[in-house]
Amino acid sequence: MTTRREILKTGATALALTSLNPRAFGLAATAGQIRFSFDTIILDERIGGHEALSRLALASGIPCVPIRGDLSWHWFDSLRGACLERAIVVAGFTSDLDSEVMRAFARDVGYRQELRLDISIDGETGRETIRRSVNPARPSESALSIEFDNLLDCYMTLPMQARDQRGPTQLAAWVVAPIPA
Amino acid sequence: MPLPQGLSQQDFDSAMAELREIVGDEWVFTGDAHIETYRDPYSPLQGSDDEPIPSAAVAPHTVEHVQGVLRVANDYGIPTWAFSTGKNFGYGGTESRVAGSLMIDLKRMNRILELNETNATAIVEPGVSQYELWQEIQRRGLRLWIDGPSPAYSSIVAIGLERGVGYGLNGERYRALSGLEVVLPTGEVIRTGMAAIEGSGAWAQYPYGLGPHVQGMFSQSNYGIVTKVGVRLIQHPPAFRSSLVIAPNNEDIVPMIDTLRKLRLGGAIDNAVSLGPHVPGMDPWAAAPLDPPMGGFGIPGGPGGMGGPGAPPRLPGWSFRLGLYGYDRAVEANWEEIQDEFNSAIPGASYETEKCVAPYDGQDNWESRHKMLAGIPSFQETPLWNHGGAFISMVLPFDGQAYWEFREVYDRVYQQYGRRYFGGALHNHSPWSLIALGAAPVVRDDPEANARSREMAIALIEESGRLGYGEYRAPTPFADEAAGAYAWNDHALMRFFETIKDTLDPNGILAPGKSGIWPRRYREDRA
Repeated sequence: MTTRREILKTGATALALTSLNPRAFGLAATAGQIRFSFDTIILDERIGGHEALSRLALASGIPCVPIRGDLSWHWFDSLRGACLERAIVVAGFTSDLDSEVMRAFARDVGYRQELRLDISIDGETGRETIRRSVNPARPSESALSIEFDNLLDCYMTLPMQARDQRGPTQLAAWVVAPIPA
Repeated sequence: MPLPQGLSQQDFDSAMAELREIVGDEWVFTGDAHIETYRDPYSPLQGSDDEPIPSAAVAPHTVEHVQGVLRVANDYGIPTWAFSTGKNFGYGGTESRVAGSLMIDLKRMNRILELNETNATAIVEPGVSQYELWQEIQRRGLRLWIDGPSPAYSSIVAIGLERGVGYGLNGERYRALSGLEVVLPTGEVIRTGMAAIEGSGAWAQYPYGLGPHVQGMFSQSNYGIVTKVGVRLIQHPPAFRSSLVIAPNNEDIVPMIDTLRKLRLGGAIDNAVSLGPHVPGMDPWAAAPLDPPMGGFGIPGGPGGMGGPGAPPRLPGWSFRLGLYGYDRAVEANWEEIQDEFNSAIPGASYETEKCVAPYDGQDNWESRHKMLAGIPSFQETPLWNHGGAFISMVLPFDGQAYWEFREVYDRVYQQYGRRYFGGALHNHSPWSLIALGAAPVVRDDPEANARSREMAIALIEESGRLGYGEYRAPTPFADEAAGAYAWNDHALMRFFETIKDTLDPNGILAPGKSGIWPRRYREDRA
């Protein structure tokens, strides 16, 4: 099994999950066969499907931090200290703006946004569009990238939840990790 | 990663080596992995050839470090750009004006040097965020509030120096500052106001001192790096009422502004209220949309799409947050008068209100609008922002009809760019002026769309100038255009700024182009 330390160290360990189609992946995830190894996952409760993602994270033993459009409290109260204490990998599924706030926080402790994917939701139809990957600092075959893809696949294969009408329509899934020496 | 203009790689490497000697190896950042983190994610210049990508960053820990960094910059002619926490999304973040700048990241200068409950004052360094000061107040159990501490991560020093909008009793953040310690571009350190007295006993109590009041010279300027500042706080009031005043119709903004002015000038309302399009359940300012099309209220399915999918657009009404502070009976009497005034002026006006009495137990569970008015940091002013944008914020008279006419002009410009403007957030620093907020949207990794946004922003600035209005604060990329509006007597004010700049910063190394103020060597290059 790939450990978090290995992910950070090598950034290139492959996991044999890429061939799973989304539906199969969703079923596997729901059945608890897919596990994540991020140190923590931050989820905006306004995003439809967050409960299911939270359950999946917890099934992997990963602390899942719920927010509602404001991760600064969690940052100052807890996460900043954790990032400084040891090298950790933080994943998030938040609004676009929160992802940028996190990116700026990360800079303050020598971390950076390693991976990112923007998801745009049409406010009228609810249709979701994955717009693009930004700043793909790591090769797509790296373990961290695959973990990230797994997280996204989980989201994309969840049954569409009733979305909070006041929720953000520009979402970002992201991973923050220490800047390599 | 661009080098500073005119500097060889060898000289750049030498400069970095000297900086490492001063601040330590681990606090000088070079290479793409680090420099990437200093780019403004919401810059309208993002991805274009004009984006001013830095060359390096340095994080000093002491005043002596700052002096050392500026000495190296002077020796090598390296342009620098200093910032405190660097998260002012909407006005430029950490973005400089000149490519190859050395970013001076003051995050390590984050000490709270003094906290005085009796006088309700503090002395802090630039890296102290609103949240960290609040946390320290809680830790010590002091009966103090910070004035409108939002967003939580913002630097107290920077938001004050940039004259950011306030929400509480002090209004604009600059008014909370009293006495600065400043490292001038040449490395000399000065203190202003009472702080200039050896062993000052009233640093944060009185900002002026004796003689010219120079504190303002370091606000929105490139004349020095502020390393300490006195801050005025607020004592717990005996009672506090937090209210939302709601007008049902979009056109009610005119009597709402005029009634608010009367109550502000008359002293019934003390806090700097923020108005915004009303979305039930949302804070007014939080609802200011940055969705395309900008000002998308009334667009079906948008955040203010009141009619729902397929329904005809309907523009929302307006609301504002109101804080009343003081003795219980005075607060209640004021509240009665305020409701009477709005009921007379706006048919169908409604209110959501809650009174709290010291010691304010259970405030953790308050709604965000109460928190912001009661000095509890949050990020709740921006939860619905879906995109970045460069704010174009004009100073208007506190007059409903003037705002209505201004809105028409803004909307006309927006329509030229395929967007609509139905009104955004409106702040009032004081009873005499309004800050009307618009924004040019930034679309990630779409330089073409962002180029159109830049055109729109410049058109907004120019059209506002024709009405006699200018910006109170400008996003970094639009600093020249914003400064250009202040053109009376053939730009005499800018010439005055430049004279000061050339005197204090003869090598032109500190934040060239900040607020449109360019040092001599850049002016000559641009001529």
